[in-house]
Amino acid sequence: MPVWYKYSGEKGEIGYQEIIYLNAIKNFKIMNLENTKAQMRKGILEYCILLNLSKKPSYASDIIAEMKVAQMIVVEGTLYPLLTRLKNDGYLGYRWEESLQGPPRKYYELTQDGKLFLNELDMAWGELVEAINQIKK
Amino acid sequence: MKKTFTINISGTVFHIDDDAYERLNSYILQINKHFGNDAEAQEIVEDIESRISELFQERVKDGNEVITIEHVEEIIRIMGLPEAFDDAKEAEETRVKSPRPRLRKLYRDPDDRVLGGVCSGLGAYLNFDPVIIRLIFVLLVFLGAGSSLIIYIILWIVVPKASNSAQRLEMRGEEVNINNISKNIKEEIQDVKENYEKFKASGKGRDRMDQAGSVASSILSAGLKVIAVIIGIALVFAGIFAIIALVTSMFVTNEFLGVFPFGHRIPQYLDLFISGNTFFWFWIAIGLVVGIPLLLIAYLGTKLIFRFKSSNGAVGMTSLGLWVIGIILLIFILVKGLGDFKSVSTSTKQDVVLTKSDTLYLKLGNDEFSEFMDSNINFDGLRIAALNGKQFLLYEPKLDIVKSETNDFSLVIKSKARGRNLDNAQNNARDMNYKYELRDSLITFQPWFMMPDKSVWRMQQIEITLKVPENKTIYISNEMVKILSDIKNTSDMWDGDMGGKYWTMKPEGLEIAQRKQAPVVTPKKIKK
Repeated sequence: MPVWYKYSGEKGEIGYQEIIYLNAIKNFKIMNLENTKAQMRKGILEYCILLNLSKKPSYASDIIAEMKVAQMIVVEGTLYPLLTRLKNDGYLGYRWEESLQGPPRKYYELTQDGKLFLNELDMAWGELVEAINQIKK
Repeated sequence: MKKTFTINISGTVFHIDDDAYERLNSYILQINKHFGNDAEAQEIVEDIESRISELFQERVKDGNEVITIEHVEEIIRIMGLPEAFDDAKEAEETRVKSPRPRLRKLYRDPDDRVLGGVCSGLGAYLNFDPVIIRLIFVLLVFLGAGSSLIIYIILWIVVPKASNSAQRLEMRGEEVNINNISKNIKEEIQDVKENYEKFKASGKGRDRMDQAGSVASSILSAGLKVIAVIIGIALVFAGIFAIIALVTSMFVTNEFLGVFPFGHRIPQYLDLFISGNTFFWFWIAIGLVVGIPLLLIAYLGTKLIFRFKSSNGAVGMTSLGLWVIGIILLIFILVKGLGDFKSVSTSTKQDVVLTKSDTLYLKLGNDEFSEFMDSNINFDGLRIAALNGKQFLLYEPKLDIVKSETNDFSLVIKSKARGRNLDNAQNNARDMNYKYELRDSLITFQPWFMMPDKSVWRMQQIEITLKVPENKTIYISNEMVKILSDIKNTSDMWDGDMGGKYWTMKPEGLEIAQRKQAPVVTPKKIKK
């Protein structure tokens, strides 16, 4: 829905072209915000997954459910590539678990390397929080 | 009622509506394309498919229920579109697909081509939409007299096809490294797979052939249209040039109507033949008769170029009508012109040649006009001389020699002329003045009889008859031979041989007289 801006100046109401232009700017600003937020999330999604799995091993779908609750991801598709990459990097491992409802599912858990990596990430996170708090002062 | 497919996702069998299947298939293909072809990618895709299978199973509990398109849409919403996966790989892709034109090379793009991929190759090189470039090419064909067609063909031949991945990358200016090449190859394989899948699934093989055929035929017809346009342009130019030539020749040069018998000099001397106002109509007639066909040619040419439909009937009838008018006008002028020659009249002048001598010497005067004469025109004794910007009609007089009834030499000069009517003819005849000079016993005849300036040709003729009394002698000098007109003589000699001799008039006719060759006689100067 386009927003109609009234410009109360000498000219009175601004013309149609300017309104479209202003709408475009508004949309752009909204887009920018979403983009930045998405960028922030993207950066720490791996960290979140590792955190989640550090509590206990779980199925991919459970991890997804938790991420959704935490509002870290919007679509499920985001997770699978991350899971696979973390596994290929050696931080995660899985085993197949038979399922009653359908095909066998992967059951993920942290590896030793993963635990170590998670520690590093924990520290990095702490540093980031510190830094931001510092800047906020 | 809908058609159903049976599919299996991650080992589980599902029934799915045909439209749902299309949607799901394309979604999965998108995902495949997004991740590529390496082992890791395959694993990811398997996981995703597994998840999709789970989601379907939750919704379609009974084995006999089908997956509908709504189900598929929901699943896609949950899983997300590949663009939304925002994983590291995409960032990598966007980085790589930088629009910064690096070292680009011009190739023909064989994957995106109508004819030879020239325009899409150009588009990749210049970062322009190839459609726009194609439009420009087609426009140039029409406006640039087919030049762009030649350019296109040259480019087709010269510019190499981007046949391997490295070349394709160079064409787009992307960095040629292993990553990009492998990505490129994956993309291509995906494209091929997709197309093949679609092809197979839709079972529309024959339509493809038809498509190919119709594409070929449309290319052919486009080509023919282009050729027609080129011909049209040629015709337009030909017609315009011919018209220019005609007009120029009418006023400036002499050469154009040279095909006609004495048309060689028509424009220049026309006013000597056609009087006054007919002149004007004459040109109009010529303009119509010759110009209309030329205009038609040019018109046809423009039609071919700009492909506008016009009522051929109307145009044809109009031009035919005008042309016929031109012809009628021409005939009319001709007839009228002929009318100017209808009547004939002769004006006679008889003089007695006063000489005491028994021998009359005949001599032809100096030909002052020969250098000014137009040697191309010799029409029944008519010559045309151009002098000081004026043009003169010159006639050769004809001399006959007969026996005189009296004892005196006499000269009869008959002037014949034609005219519109008797009066006109008479006037024309009277206007002719042929002069000769008599000194003692020497007659000098003018070699030419000249019409005064601004007179018109009306088949004028001068006939001179010299009457020689019996037993009197004449001497015909050599040049005189030119104006002799079949003089009867007892020796039956040709006119040409009669020169330089003395002839005596005998009862039977002229007879060669035996005399010594007389030297050229110069008259004594008579003081006034």
